[in-house]
Amino acid sequence: MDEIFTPRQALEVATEMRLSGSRRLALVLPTTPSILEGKSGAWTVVGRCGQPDVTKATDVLRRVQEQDVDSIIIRTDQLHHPGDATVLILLEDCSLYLSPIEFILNDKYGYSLVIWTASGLSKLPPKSSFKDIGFHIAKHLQDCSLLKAAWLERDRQALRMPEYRCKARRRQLRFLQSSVANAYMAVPSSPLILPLLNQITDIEGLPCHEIAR
Amino acid sequence: MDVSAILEAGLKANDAASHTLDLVSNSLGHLPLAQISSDCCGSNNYPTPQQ
Repeated sequence: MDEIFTPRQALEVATEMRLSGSRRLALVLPTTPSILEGKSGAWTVVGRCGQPDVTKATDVLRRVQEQDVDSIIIRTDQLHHPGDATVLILLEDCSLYLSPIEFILNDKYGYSLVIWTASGLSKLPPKSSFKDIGFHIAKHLQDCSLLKAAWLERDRQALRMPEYRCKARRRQLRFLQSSVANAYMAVPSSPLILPLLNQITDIEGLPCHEIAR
Repeated sequence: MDVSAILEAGLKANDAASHTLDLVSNSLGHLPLAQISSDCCGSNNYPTPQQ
């Protein structure tokens, strides 16, 4: 690809769409320095909590129910935590977890999705199929890699992978097992300890797709 | 089946669970450990069990 359609250009085009009367737009943008430096203006921004001007996905959904929220920017690449990215999609060569917010806004609340990709904007009308939405969001995340060092969320995307989540969960379970064993060290004959340790071992033995959630 | 309603309920449930976990963590983090230590362990004067 010779020239990348920049996230900044995407924001400008989508702002034009909004100013020319398009209502209920949800713009999916990557996290780059140029996007963070720019003013989000009339856009409500959904992303990871704790950043200035960013609203939690559940708070945005509450606002959407209570009043009209016309234009939303979704920083999908920031929504990779197991609590945020809960929809598992299966692609040809891999599987990954995506945030449900795009699906909900499009299907339930009638938002058009405008998704940045390196070759331009993908536009999905309200009530698009979940398969189409999943495909375009996966393509968006794939194209984010083309932004190279400008993509600030690159290193956190492993959290979307079931294999990564599975390993992390097993590590947490081993830690829990050690903690329980340690807590009962003074009373090793306690009738509570063995059933507890066995239960943790049973969870550890679950298949990866069960344990990764 | 309204899949988006299920997804929305799941998102809210996750949020509520995280909030509860934060509250518990914060409560544990604010236990007056120094006070417990000086009142009980440091003085070897364990509190009398409540009758």
